[in-house]
Amino acid sequence: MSCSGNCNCSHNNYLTGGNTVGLSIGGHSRTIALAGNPNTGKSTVFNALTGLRQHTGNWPGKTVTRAEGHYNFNNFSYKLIDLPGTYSLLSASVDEEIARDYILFGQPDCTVVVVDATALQRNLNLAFQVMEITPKVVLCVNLIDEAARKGFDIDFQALEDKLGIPVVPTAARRKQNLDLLQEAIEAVCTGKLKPKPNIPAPPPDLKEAIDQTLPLIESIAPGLPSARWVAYRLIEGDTRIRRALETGELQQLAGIKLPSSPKPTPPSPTPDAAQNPTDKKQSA
Amino acid sequence: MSNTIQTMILVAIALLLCIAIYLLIRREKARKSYAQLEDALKYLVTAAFDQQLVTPDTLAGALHLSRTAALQLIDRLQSQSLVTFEQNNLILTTLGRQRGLKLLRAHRLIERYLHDEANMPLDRIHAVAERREHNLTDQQISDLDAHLGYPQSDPHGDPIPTPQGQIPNTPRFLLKDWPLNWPASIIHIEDEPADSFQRITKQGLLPSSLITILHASESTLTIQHQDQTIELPKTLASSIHVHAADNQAIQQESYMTLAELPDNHQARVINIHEQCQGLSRRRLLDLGVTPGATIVTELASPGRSARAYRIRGTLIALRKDQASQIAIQPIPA
Amino acid sequence: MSSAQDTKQVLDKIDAIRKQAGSQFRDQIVTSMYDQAESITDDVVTRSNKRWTFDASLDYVATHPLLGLPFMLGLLALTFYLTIAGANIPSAFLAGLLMEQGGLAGFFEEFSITIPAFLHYSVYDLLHIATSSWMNANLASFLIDGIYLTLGWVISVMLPPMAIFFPIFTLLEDLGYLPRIAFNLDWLFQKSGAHGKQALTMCMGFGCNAAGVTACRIIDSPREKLIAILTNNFMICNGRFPTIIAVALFFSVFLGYSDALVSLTAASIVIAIVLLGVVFTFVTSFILSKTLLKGEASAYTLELPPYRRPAVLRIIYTSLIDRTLFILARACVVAIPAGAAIWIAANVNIGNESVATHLINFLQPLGYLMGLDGAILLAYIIAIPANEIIVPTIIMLYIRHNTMIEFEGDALHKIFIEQGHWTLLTAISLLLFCLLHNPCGTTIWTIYKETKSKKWTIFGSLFPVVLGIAVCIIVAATWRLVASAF
Repeated sequence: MSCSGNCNCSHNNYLTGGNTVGLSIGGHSRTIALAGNPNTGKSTVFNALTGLRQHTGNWPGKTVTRAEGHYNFNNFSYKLIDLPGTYSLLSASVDEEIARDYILFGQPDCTVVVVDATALQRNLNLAFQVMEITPKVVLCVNLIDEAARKGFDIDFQALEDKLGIPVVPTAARRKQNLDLLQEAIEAVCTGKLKPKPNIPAPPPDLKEAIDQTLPLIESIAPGLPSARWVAYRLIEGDTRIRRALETGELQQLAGIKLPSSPKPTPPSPTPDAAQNPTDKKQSA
Repeated sequence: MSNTIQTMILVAIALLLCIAIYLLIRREKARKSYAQLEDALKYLVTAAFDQQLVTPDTLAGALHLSRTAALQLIDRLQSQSLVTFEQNNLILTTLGRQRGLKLLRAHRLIERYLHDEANMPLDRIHAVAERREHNLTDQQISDLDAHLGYPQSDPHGDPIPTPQGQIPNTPRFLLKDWPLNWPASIIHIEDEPADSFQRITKQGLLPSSLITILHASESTLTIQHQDQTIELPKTLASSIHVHAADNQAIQQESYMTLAELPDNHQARVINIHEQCQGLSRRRLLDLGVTPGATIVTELASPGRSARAYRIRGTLIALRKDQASQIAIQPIPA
Repeated sequence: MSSAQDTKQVLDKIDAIRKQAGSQFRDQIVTSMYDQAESITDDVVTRSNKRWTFDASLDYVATHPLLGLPFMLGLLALTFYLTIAGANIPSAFLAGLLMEQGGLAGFFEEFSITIPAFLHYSVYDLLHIATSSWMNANLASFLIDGIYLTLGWVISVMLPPMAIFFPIFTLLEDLGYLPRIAFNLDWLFQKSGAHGKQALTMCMGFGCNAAGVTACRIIDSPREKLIAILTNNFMICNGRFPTIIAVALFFSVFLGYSDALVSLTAASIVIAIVLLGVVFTFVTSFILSKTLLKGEASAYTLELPPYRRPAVLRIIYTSLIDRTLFILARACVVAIPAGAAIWIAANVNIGNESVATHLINFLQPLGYLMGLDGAILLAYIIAIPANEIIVPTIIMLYIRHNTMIEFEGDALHKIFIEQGHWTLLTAISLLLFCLLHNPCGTTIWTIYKETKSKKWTIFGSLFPVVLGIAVCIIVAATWRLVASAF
């Protein structure tokens, strides 16, 4: 509230300058993306890990821009990107595009999906979507203190087995289990732990369409890790992904480290910003 | 001394204003004549689709032009080789048909957008789309198409031409020719003239509404729509196209909607209505309103314009018109 | 790597598949994911019978069809009362410490405490003493009477109310109350053709209009987003709160209320202005959706998150450091050049009069029509970069020829009455104009960034100030008419 999202960033740079300079010289830094529904305490996790004071608020849409922070763990520097809170990565609203593009094109070394322990069912939807894009996912089940207070009992081991990715229960506000989260992130980054995401199979009605599409994608982008997700997107008619294939951006991903700033649509046809069909904001 | 300066400043301001107004008028004029040309092409395309012949007089009538203005317009169309004459009838050249179809496609996509995403009232979208349809690039049109999820028809039920310039032709009948007591779905309501369109939609009749004709007299049709009967003048019935309602639509009609579920009751979601498209459908899906999900009405807002529903462990507020797009089956307590 | 031609062909083939897959594709994918999520949580999560009812009972009141709105107003009233009652004394203390002649002597006199004579110096006095022996008198005056004094007023007027208001507001925000406000007011937004989430952007506007405008990104529909952006200025931002509070306090002092009633009256006035702002928001939204931005309220989904127990200490810390100090710093940065400009304008003469006097005289006729005066209008022009400095600028303009005023106790109100010749009408008009005037520079820039449209930026900047001038003129004319009748 004190400032628009933009000043937040300058804030952070200023604040982080001191504590990372010494360590990041030798080691290269690892990039971690933080995704999650709104109201899951994602910003609290971010603050707890980085020691920053990104403002948190209990209402949907609080974080409208991307914030960055750093922390060190076992002599490695980690860059943490706090993505906007979204319910999904499919609706193509501005914040969902920012989040989706970062996870796909930004190629973080690990993506942490923060979920609310008291609303696991709804939150898992986003987790599945992230797992479709990348296998390097850690599920951070946050707010376990609230969940316990409300009488929820969660079998985290079973959850981990069913999802095939590391699951860490945390209470970020009390700084509980953050070390476990950092360990899990490290394990995924180093490849010590290779998650095998267990994603829902495509619905039977769509199986044929997917089966036809996958070899086509393979023919132009051999070995693409998120091929099935790309197939979903293409069948839905996602122009951003289609263009990424046309320009070769998606194929060359391995070599690209930073997200090329997405260009959702060409400039609007009329000066009238209201009700403009193609008026979408460039991500900040 | 200061008086002269003041006067000079005033004169300068007045002069600048005049120049600005003059420039605005000139730009508006150029825009208008360009739009007129394109509108003529669009009209010719739709007329060709309906297999009607167009003479200079019918064109003048359709575009509300004087005969001389229409002839001038036709001259311009001819000089750009967009139309040719065959006897007294205007025929589109290939180039003219391409441009007309592109415009028609843009128009109907914009209407879809205005209806689905900008939530404009149905009776206004045509006029706005008329203004916005010009000057869109091919890329912008296809992006809009993708953004809207490749819709088949505009909100009035008219088919949207494909990028290749094909207009899907589905069988349709005029409501006034439809047999009695035979369930029909409205597929199209003619958007012009605007006031008859308004009179129809005021009665709650919209594209994809399910109706049955109960009785037909000389001048009026008695129509059953949901739980009300409507007296519709036959003149209006001739701007409504229908086709036979499929079983799914008939069954859909029998489901209760979430808006009708009493407070503190539980229900299972059947589906989201076909009419709810675009972003609002995607948002509902993202929040877990999928077939089979359980949903509980928990809170009602002051004024009861919205209620909060417990769905998948979270509390979600929806407005009434949105809740009425969700078909449910109540679960007895 | 295959050629671009191949890629194009393959993509066209996929397009063909897309057409066959039909429109239900998305529905089916999402359903399959949710079905899986449901089956997993059914196995993994068990809920003991203990029903937690705190949320439910709080929501019963907070969103009750009848109790919800009074509850909300009550919270608002309490917030403002605490802010005003709490800020009064620290404000006077800071003014004494930083600026008044005789330092804190006047402040303590109010409480019948006499402090030793060697403490009868404010920082302002000390600066003058410290520089008198070696610094050029004009330079010293420029630095101390121009820049330092403006800074001093900014700090003493702004810091205390913000330091109380922000933590309380953050508390409500962290608790999860804001979405309930949106839920409660939904019917009004629906009637005015606006988006339900506009309530959230308005709440952000309470803090800072620029932040409120940025927050409008949460609104999907471009039409309603634009309405939310254009009307955000009707929410009193923290930069304007100090002005409103100062004038509201002046009001109750002017009316001669006793101490106990002062804060209460002031709080009611502030609430009245805030509510008036809300009314203007709805009316403008309604008019916009019937004219320039025709359309109906669109569907939206709003999650009402579970209440969370706020971490009180962290809130106080972050709201003080991040919000209060950040905004204070911003105000100070603007106050320095403004202070310099005012001093120069007040001390450079053209003919027999200073530049400031010329400007004030030029604006005086319009100011008079609006029930204000030329100095106040000039202050509004100077304060376009940041509204925070309105009151300090007005003060500086009033005392431009005589900074050495004997202050005792209520310095602020003395200046208003003795130097500004304020009446009740001045206070009323100033309150109205403070609500209805152009957004600050940062907000204008943010509107441009968010709308990418010069047209709407100009509209958003000029429309409120034109409205404000009109409203003030009407009110002043009516007031004078009624006053002359008696």
